[in-house]
Amino acid sequence: MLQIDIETLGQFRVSVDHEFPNSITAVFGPSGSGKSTMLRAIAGLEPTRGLICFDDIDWLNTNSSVFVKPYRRPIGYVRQNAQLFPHLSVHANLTYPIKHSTRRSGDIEFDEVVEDFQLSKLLSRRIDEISGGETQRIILARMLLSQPTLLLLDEPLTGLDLQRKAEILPYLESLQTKYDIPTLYVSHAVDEVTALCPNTVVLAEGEVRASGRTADVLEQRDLDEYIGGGDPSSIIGAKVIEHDPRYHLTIVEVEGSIWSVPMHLPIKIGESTMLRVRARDVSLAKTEPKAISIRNILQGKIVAIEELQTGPSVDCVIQAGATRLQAQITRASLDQLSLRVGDTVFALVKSITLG
Amino acid sequence: MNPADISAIWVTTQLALVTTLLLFVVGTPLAWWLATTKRWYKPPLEAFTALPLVLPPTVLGFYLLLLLSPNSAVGGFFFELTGVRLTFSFTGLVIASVIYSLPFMVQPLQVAFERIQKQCLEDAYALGVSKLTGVLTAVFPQCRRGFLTAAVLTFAHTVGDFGVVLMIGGNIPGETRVISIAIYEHVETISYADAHLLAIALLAFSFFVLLGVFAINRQLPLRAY
Repeated sequence: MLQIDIETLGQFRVSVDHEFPNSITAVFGPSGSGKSTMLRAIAGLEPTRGLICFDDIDWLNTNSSVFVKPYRRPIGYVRQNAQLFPHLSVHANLTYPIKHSTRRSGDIEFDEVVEDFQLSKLLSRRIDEISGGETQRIILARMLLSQPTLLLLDEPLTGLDLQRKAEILPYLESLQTKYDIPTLYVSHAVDEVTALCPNTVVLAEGEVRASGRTADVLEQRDLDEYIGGGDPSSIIGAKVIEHDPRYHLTIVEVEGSIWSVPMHLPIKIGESTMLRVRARDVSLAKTEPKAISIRNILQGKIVAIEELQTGPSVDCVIQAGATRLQAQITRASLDQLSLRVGDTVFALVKSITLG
Repeated sequence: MNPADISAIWVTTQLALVTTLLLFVVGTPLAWWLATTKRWYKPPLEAFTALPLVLPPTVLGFYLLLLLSPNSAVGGFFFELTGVRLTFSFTGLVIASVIYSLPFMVQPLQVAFERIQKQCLEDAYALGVSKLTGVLTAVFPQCRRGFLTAAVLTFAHTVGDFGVVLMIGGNIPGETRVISIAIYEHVETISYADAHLLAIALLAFSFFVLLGVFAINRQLPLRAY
């Protein structure tokens, strides 16, 4: 477990007191919120005062004058726009930590990493002969070969186009599923966070604004300004049943209902995933609609109606089993259908983002 | 070419080689310090390092003459210790050249270090690599162009020196008589043919050295494998 209670002393002040569980935690927030500075402080690259303790070992403790030098901290840190050493080949970049690192313990094997990250064909290449997506894979592989026990990833997908992102995402997932190393994952993209991170910390203006399970955190209305620019959404759990290449859909199960979402192959059949549904993409019906183009329908009960005094719309929260779904409908519809808390309704979901 | 001129070429070559080697040893840490420090006295030290670029060689030579003469504290101490005079000797010439050519070694290196050292070292730290190892295996190899430029410029600048050498070294054949002084003497004694021979050789040498630097900086691949 990583425990920090720090205040950075550089130009940009970050003050964070938080405990990160041993899984992957998203550090989420708008640009300039101090995400990168916090990561650099944990890596020991930023003048910082306070306490940083990982697995009961102090890396920083101002009270007892403990400061572990950056290279003595067993971290894998991938900075924003990270680069490979341009004077070394792909192979030499990968073996660099094996040759020169002060960290000798660890059981991550060269051959295994090369195979997992599909690098065997690239080994003899020069750095100027590889693509952006390949560079990112090599950077992640090189990081693993330095035998880290904590990963600090600062927007590892930034700067890649959608195609490349989709290529790299499975490798990032494998960091968790296969190598199982606690991770702080800095991002400002909700989709990456929901796809990868069970936990989320929201940072704004150098301070923690919210933390907890990703689904719970991203549901909080008061965080909307950081998350989606006033675009409230729900994060709901789903299980992948099959991929349908013919219609380019992935079939998932949500609380007993069968939904289809845009196809996303990295998630294997039988695995759980998270879906993001924007409240304004959800409509409500009192009776089950037939002959309708919307394919994703969930029956549930209205558990809350948040009526803002101004504006045309209201937010309804629908509960179906363990799933909560926000729906944004007009106040006019609310009155016409005379919807009340406790009513059974059908939520019609028009559009979904799958992690 | 007469034996005296060949001897002058030999003295010049030796002087330039020794100066470049010494400056490589002295200039690298100094350039590293200047590239990484945030102390208040960095600018004055930078200015001091750059002085030989703007001072007339006679000014530098004059003060060095005062400093190194056996009657002065420094020169006298060295004479007591080793029995070697620092004025009008090859050793004195080397010391003068090291000071005179210092900016030509330090500045290209400082520029190269400043460009990459911070991020490069942070990347090395994150892989568990200590500072010294990171500097030697990641920073310096990426500064190959800087090192080459610095070495070539230092060598060429030392070869081209005239004023400081004349003030400190005089004109002792086989000891302090370098090419530029040999040319001066040929002109003084109106042996224009001999002067031409050396002058043309030096001109061609300087041109091709500079050409080499520019060509290399364009084409030298960064990789070291």
